[in-house]
Amino acid sequence: MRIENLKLQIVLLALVVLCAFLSAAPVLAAQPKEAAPADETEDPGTDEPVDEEDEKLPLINQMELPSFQRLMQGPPLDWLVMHTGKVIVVEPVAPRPGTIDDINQRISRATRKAGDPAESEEAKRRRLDLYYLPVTLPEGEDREYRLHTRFLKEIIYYEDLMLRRIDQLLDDEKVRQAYEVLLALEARQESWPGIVPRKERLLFTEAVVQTAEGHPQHALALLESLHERRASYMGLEAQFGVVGDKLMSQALENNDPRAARYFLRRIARKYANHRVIKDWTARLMQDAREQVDKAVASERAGRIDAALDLAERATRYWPDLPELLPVYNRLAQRRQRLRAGVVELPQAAPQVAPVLLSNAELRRRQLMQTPLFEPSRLENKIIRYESRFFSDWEPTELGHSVLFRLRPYRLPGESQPMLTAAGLVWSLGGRLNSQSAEYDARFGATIDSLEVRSPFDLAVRFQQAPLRPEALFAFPCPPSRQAELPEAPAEPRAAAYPFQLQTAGDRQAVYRRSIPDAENSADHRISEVIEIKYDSYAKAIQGLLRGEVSMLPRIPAYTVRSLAARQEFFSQAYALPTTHVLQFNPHHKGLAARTLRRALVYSINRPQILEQVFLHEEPGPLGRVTSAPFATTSYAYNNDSTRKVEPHKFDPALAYSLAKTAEKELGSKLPVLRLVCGPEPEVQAAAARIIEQWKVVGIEARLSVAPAVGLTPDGQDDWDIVYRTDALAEPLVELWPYLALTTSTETAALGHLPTWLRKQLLDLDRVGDMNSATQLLHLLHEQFWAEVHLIPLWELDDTFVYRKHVRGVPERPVTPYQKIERWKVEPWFSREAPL
Amino acid sequence: MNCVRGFLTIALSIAPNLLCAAETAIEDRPYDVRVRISFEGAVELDAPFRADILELTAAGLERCLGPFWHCEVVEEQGRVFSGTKALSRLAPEGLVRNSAIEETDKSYLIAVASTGAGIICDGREWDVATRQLGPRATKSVLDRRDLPAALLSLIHELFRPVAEIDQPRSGRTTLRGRGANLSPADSSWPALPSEKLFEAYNCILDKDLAVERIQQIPWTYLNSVNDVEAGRVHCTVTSGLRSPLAGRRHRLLTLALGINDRGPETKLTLVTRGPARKPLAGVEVELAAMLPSKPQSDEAAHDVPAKTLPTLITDRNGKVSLPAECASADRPIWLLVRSGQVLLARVPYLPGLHPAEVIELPDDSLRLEVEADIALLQAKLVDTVARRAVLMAQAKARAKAGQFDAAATALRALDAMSKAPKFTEDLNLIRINRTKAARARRDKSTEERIRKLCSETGELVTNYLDEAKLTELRDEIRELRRATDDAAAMEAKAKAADERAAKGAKPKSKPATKPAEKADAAAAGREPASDEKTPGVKTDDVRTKAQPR
Repeated sequence: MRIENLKLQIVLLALVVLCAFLSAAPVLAAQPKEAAPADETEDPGTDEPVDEEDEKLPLINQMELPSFQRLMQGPPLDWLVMHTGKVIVVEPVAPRPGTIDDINQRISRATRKAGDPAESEEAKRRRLDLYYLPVTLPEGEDREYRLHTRFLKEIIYYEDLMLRRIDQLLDDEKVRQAYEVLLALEARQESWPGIVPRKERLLFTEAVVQTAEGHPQHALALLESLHERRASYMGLEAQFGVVGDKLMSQALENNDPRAARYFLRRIARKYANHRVIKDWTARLMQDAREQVDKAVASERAGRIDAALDLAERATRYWPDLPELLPVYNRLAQRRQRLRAGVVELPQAAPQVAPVLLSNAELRRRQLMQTPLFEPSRLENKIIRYESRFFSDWEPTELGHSVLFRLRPYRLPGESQPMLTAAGLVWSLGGRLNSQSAEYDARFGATIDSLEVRSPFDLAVRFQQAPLRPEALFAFPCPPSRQAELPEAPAEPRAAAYPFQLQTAGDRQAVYRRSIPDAENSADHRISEVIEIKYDSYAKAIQGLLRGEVSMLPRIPAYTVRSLAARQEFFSQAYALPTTHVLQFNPHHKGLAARTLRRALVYSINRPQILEQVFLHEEPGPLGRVTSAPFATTSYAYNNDSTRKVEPHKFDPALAYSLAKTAEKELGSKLPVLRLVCGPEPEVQAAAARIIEQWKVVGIEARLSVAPAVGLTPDGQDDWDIVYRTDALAEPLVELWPYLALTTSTETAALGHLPTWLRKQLLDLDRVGDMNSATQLLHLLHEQFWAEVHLIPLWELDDTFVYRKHVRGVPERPVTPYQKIERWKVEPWFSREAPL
Repeated sequence: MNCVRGFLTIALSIAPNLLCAAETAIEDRPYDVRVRISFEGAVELDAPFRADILELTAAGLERCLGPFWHCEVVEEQGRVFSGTKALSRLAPEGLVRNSAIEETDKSYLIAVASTGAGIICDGREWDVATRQLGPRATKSVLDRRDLPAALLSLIHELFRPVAEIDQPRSGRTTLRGRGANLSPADSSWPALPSEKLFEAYNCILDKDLAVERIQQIPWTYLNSVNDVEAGRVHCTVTSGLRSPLAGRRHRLLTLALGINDRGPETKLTLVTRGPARKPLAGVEVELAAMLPSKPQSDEAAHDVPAKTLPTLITDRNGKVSLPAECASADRPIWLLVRSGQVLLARVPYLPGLHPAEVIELPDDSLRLEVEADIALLQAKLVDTVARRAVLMAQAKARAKAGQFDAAATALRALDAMSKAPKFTEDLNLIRINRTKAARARRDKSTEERIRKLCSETGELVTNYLDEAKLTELRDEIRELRRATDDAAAMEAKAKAADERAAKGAKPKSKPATKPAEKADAAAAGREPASDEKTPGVKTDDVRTKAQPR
């Protein structure tokens, strides 16, 4: 209707023009170009023709601003506003913006000056045409017209309409729509005047909206962006104050003063003398000062732990507080705490299953168990042991007996029970008694007699001289009343040594030294280990960089190089790489088929998974594919050039063929296998990749995650294949329980293995010299490869990182917390600005 | 000297009985029994009380057994044993030499001790004919007046009947019970009860018909079945020996001694034969209620519940514990001792009968080593066969698709693989070395087993790595290639003819097709069509071929 009216109006205008032409006054030439007047006067009249049809055109104040949808969908239309206030809606005119100015400039350029030669009719006609603006109506049959500029008051372009809509949307705080219109406008005319201020207003409005919606951090980012654009924006500084208040209040509510300091610093970068900066700096300093005062009071009251907690809290509030440093140093020196960043925490109840998949549980055992002998270092491919209990262990009778001399004292910093020979015999008796829960069949078969020669001398006679007695005795001595020397009566006896699990929550686990340092000692050692859980290794590394933790017991291989390059940390690889192995449930009938096991091994593209999941580089110095469950650096690994055992090559065609053969052998479709792995994120990712690759060759498998697994006596296990990550320190001794998937060393535990393989493993127990042991282990390595009783995947040179204020960490340790009770943590807290 | 004197004394004491046996049938001879009761705790058990007990016990036995036993009840004064604890320490060797018990057929050694409010009676039976000391049994009473009855009950429990074994050349084995024709007054003391298990002993007599030596027939049990006639029963013989019971022979007396009670378990030790006698660790001992191959012939099959018995593995000292409950209803179970694929022994045994038992077996370690080597070789063989099958399938499929270069690559890979001669060479190395070692040990059976293992594997190698199949494949591919080349040449020729026909007047002016152009045309003809099938592995072929088992 509106368009029809418009056409009518233009026709009327044409009539008016005709009248004007007849009266020799060319006022308006809004008509089809074909019907343009042949001649026009040079000076267009100023009187505007009035027609009743013209009155039907809408007035500018009646025009409705196009909606968001209309603007986004188009088509674009400009408004030609007449001097009468009427509006003609036309398709976009050109050039834009400044259409009228452009016409006027062209007219002035073409205007004849005095002395100009007479112009031809044609030239005159061209010159007079300049007064007209060609317009196209949005619809109708005759849409092309010309409009004399004399009638035009202004042109409201489509872009201007967009700007007006943006303003309206921002008034209504509809930021998203405003942003979309602004983007559309930019896409049409990047340099349209008015875009930049709208952008600034948009940022500001969005910041306001985000603040109101409870996203002050987002708001701060927007304000910072606006500050970059125009620091003098009206109300910007005030809004910074609003957002800053909110952010810092929230940070303190969340007990994260470091975050408060971070926001403070961000705002200070923009407005150094802002009110918020002054207020909050004073408040944080005051809080820190109060904490320090409380810490000093607690220290005076003898509550050192509480005092240290307060001092640590103060360091997070305002580390630069001058009076904080001496108090903190004194307390942290007295109660040394090591904070370690981990991605999994031990559960409150210890795992009793024989196969541990969770590193948290392994660390818990390292902290809470004190073996008689423990692996200390790798030397000439052999792990060397050391003992906290024995000062000397001297073989006699050509190795058939050993005289163990117990230490009647503890070294400074040690935290293990004191043993007497009689107590030790009582403890060992449990391992020799077949009715006892601690019965160790291998130990029982090896030991002939135990003889207490003096309170601290124990002579052990063996049935057959063991090759490495240390490895045979590398088990934790259970704390017992009988085994220990009486302590001071005031000291309650501990259930675990050297540390006890104090608390285990969702976010952190606290271990405390079982035998605390003497209060009056000048030489203090580590007294607490606090494991703090992070959601991922990336977060844990962030925590290390921020100073929240001082140590990461394990870091992903792909981060080793970057962290090793930093000056503030020590990074060390463990003495033994961690070997990742797939091991089969001996109760599973399908997996008893060697063909299926070989199909499984040939279908895994190990180099690819190792590279893509763990290393993010070619297998090499940080990790490599392996063919044995023990380290490639061990003497047990068959590296003999003539009989070297190469890992199985990835061969999907062969794997497919073998899987089909296995299917035929089993007489049914291959069962869906259940693979279980530990909670470590990378391990889970690798296990998922393995399952994918099995699927390609037609072997279905499901993945589940568990911290530990074991074999049930009735064979009703909920897993078929287990993904293990272990480091076998001494394969000579540890291979048996590893293969048995139990803690039992009875021969029946390896009943699933062929007799010849079992015999070789039994021979390993009785082997008398290192050469024979090495040869036998090499042979076993070859046999494992052939029989595929397990699938060694790869080994990773696991690395741990710690800040340089942690002292006494052994060089290339075998385990994460090796000799931890002798470590020292020097007082340190991060004073780096949190940005 | 004392030992010799002891043996002579026993021989002299038994000789009259045996001579008597020659005169009187065993079924008509009563047992000559002496019950020796030791009393501990003299304060409560005073002399009059003890005398009463002896008298009442003797009277009770007389009343119950009548002519079946010639019995004497005496107080033990420490000549044979000194009390309850000494009963446990008693050993047959000590009793054989003890003159105090030599004149009887059976001695019951009973210790009565007062403990707290009650009295405990412990006892064991000593069978002179077989020189076997029975298991210990215990009774307790709270009222001292019940002691004679408890002693009677204890003696009843300890009594193990003795019988002579008749093994006719044909027919069933029969047991002739001692005093079986002298039926006791109390029917609960049968001389030869049915459904009773017996152990067998050979008594070798000297020229004076005195017992020179007694030898238990190992791994042999007799189970009395039912009465045939008075004093005799048929029995079934369960033995791990081929012919455990010899027929009637001069100066050989075969006796059966009843089995009364069993302990909770038997520690069975497996060792290699002397002189090494090394413990056989890690060997499987399969327990079975009956032999798998034997049909269930007698009623014993109905009695034995169809429960699965465990397979045990010997520990590092070659020991395995056989729990008594494995054998229900006092029937021996079978022990199948396996080392890998070889059955080392197959013997019946009643777990709990003796606290410890030893089986001597051949040393199988050499054969196990061969089994290990063969397993390694077989693993490589399986891989080779499977990979070969895959490559052959690939080569064939690619050749059919006209991709002869790819087929040639597959053939080259096939050529690079280990061949049958390599495997045979490895196998021969294993065989020769181990056979030599077995020969050095003079172990013929191991030598034979090694040879068998190797020859079986050798057959697998020959069957599955047959070169003829490869030759066939090569020929087939060659044929395919020739056919494709011919077709291409024909096509090129036809094309040339068409061109000549099209050119009309100047067909001969054009030079003959150059060899290079021919080759190009042939190559063009060989190009596989776009809709040709993608070559793939025929897994069914592979599957059937890749099974060297």
